[in-house]
Amino acid sequence: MNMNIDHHISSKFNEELEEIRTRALQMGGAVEKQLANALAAINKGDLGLAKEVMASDYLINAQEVEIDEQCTQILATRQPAARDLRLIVAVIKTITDLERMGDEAQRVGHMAKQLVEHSYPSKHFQQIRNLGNHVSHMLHDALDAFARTDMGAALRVLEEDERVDQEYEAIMRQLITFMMEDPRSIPRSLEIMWSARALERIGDRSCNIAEYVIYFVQGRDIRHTELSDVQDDLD
Amino acid sequence: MMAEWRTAIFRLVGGLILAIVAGMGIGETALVVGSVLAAVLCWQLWQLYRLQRWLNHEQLQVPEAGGVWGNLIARLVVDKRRNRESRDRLSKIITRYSNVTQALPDGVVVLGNNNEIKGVNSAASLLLGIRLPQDSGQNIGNFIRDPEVTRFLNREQGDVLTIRSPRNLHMRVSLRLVVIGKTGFGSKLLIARDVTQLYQLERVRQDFIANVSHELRTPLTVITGYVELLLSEDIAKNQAMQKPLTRISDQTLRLTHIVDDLLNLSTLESSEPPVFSEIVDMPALIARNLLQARELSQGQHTFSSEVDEHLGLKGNAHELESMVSNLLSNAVRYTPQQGKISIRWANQTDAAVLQIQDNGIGIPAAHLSRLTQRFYRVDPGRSRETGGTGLGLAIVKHILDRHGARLQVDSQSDLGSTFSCLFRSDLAIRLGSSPPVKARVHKLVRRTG
Repeated sequence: MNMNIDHHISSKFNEELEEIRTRALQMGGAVEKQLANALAAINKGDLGLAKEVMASDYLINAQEVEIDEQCTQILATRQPAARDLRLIVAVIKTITDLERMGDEAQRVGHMAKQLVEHSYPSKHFQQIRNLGNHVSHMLHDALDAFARTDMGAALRVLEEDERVDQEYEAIMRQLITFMMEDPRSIPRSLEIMWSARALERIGDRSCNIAEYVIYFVQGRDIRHTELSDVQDDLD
Repeated sequence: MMAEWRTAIFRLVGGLILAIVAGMGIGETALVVGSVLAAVLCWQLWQLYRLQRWLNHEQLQVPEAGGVWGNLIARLVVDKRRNRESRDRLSKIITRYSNVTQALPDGVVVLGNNNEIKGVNSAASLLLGIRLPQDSGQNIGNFIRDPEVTRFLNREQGDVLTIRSPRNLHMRVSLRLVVIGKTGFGSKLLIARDVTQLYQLERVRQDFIANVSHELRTPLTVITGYVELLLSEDIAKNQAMQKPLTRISDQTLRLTHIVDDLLNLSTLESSEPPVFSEIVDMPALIARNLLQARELSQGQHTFSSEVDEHLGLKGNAHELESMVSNLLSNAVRYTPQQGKISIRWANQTDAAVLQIQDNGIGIPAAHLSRLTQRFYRVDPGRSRETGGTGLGLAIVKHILDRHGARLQVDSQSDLGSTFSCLFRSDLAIRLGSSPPVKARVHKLVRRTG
């Protein structure tokens, strides 16, 4: 399906629409980078990287504000309809989710810092690492689906979420066991739990982005619907 | 050619005269002339129709016609054949070239003025995950979303950037941007090359150096400890032992310095570049290091400094400290007694410049380009005797790279050298005024914690 935005008489309008899409995706790139850095900070126990993650979140916030402003401008001056309107609505929602993901990545960075500073043993990191990799793939795929307005890819992202939830559950259970066995591990376990939670949230928000893609392409809101129903409907 | 036209006109005129004569014979001139003209018109229209049908449908037979029409059709047939031939020839050339580009092991992406994707070869799809035709016309930043790449693409003629491949995070891809000017097709070429293996080799080398230096440290500490012990014991009073022990002590110290520098260097190489959020008080840093340099010189050199007291720099304080200290100690080492050493720190038109100048032995031009390689020595004998490790400038170079700065060396044998570090002017900050970056943080950070 070719969803390129080139159907307007005003080529300036086309450019504006292309631009906000590209800017939203680039903001997504910044979030991906933050997440990757946060995970690398955990992996290598790199304090500098963790601090960098914590210090760069404001850049993402600034991008959100700018893109928001730009969207409002387009809404006001062009009064878009149909697919253009859906694109702008999708962008506005996507950047909100991206900004939150940036905050979650910052939280993971914070945990990396705590772990390095208190030199916690890296026993649980492997699972966090797996969850992190999984979630960053999801985010990457969701953004790719957004770039290509690819419904199939968006649906695959939605499917992936279940597996992320299972991994999250497994980490939870394990941490609870640790905490019961050894109360001294509670502060550390809580720290890990928070970051696992943050990663799981990033996965959920990636799903939101995938839903906006479907909304943009089909004009259908599939939020709060069972995935199997959605798939049946779309087939 | 004219002959056919003449015949056609004669025929028309003749036909009309005949029609007029015949019309006058039966007394209905207008009707007869009219019908003849209508017949002529119909015939011409029919010819036109046949011509158009033939032009629209390749497979139809060439319409048979004589006279003016025949001429025209013959001409069109020739043109058509020529067109087809040149089209075939051109498409063959295009296929050949596109086969060649497809077969290139390096990825090539043709970009338009606004970085929109115009063309991609198969290696580029493989390395960068761009799919054709559905991705064509989109901004490349939609797929390669790394903020560094965005910055890289907006530079005019960028150098090389190494990124993780968006398709496979374990793959390293080096990107190079070539501006090709207005060709009507694209204005930039993005060339991507798989450097995973090179990258891994580099990593192995870095790890090796880091590990070796680390392993060497422990035995060195033991040796230093015992040598110190021996030097303080009675044995040292023995004249025969005194000299060897002092030598051992000196050399151990030197080895320790080398190992430390190697470790510093490998940390610089392997860690991420610093965040430019810290503002370093450069005047204070320079003053500190100048004091150290004076101690090292033990009054053998005269020092002067011209420092802008209000100019700070965004960067990593620890690294900048090590850079200034290395440059100053080099200046002291390679400047003979009574030499002059001066340091300047000021904001110039396009860069903030730290300059360290001496009137020492200088560096012959042939050595300038290799100066920052590790263990490279202009005169091996001399530098060892002055106690250098051979790693100082390599460290300086790395630190400057990490700060996006440049090192410029001007030197002449026996006249002295000038080392200038050129920092981007947007990193230079007036001290005392409130830093704009921090202000934004407070304004924009929300919902955190």
